[in-house]
Amino acid sequence: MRSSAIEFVEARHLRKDVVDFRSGDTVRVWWKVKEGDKERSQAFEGVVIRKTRGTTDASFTVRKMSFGVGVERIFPLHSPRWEQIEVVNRGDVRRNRLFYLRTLRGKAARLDLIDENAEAAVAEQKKA
Amino acid sequence: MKGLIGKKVGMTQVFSADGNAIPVTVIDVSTCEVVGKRTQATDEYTAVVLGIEDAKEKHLTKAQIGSFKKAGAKAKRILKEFRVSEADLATFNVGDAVKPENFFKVGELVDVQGVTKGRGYQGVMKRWNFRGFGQTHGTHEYRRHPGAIGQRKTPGRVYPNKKLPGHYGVEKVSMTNLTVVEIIAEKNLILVQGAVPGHNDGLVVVKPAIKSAMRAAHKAKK
Repeated sequence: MRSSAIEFVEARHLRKDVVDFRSGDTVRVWWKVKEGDKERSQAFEGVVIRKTRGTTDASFTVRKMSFGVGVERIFPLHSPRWEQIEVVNRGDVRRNRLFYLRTLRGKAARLDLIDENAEAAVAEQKKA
Repeated sequence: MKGLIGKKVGMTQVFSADGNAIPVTVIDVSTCEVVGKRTQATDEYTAVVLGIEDAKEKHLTKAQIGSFKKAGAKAKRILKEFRVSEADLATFNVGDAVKPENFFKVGELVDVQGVTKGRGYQGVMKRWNFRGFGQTHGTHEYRRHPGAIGQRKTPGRVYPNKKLPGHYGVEKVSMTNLTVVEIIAEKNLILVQGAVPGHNDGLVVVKPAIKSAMRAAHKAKK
């Protein structure tokens, strides 16, 4: 059992602006980079292939292909260093850990996309 | 030397202002109070007595109850004296709660003393970090053994303090030079970087870092 004091401490360090996304989604993470005394945001766009649960220690891994080479980056979910996480599109996957993508290249490494508009339409139809 | 008694709550991870994740131990001092003073006049030395965890009267002797009543403090289960100068002693009032922000600043180095977790009767590999023997190449019933423990007819005995199997853990251990990451005054919590001896809910003593203070004093002398 987590102690209430620990939860209190962690709550101070959790970000409240975390957007809802899951494994399989393509996201664009704007990561703050320090160059000298200037700071700017750098985008890293790719597929989320893992999301770990937790409080302040939660993280997610983004994989992208860069000039034919697979690049993976692990981001702490509650880090103050990201400026924004944009969800580019939602992928239809059946598991949280998509490590099988590492062995796939090109067309085979694509994921089915979830059409959110279509889903909303279905939900509305059901209501009616 | 100021110091206080706290309770180890547990460990977690927080982010620093520049975004680095820091492993921290949370120390709770909310039940720590000043329960007495030792003065030059009566005791020939000056110290402040701190207590932690409220005690029920039925668990105390009449003498203990009397001493708490005389001092005008709440009965506490665990007491500890901290030597302070006469000027510092005047800043403490019996019955006051201990406020961590009055003791330490964020970024300050502290020593944290606690009693390590008990590990029972352990062999030399766990207890003394011996290397043991090869797991293969014909090792026969001698994988985690200590090896030779002495010489021959001279000296004909095993030297004192020879590292051998035995009871491991439940020792007083100090972690030195831990950084204070955060002090949460409203909940009386101290966050120190890194691990602290003992199990969760165990008692710890937090004091200013003695080694770095000595080093600073030595440098100032030069």
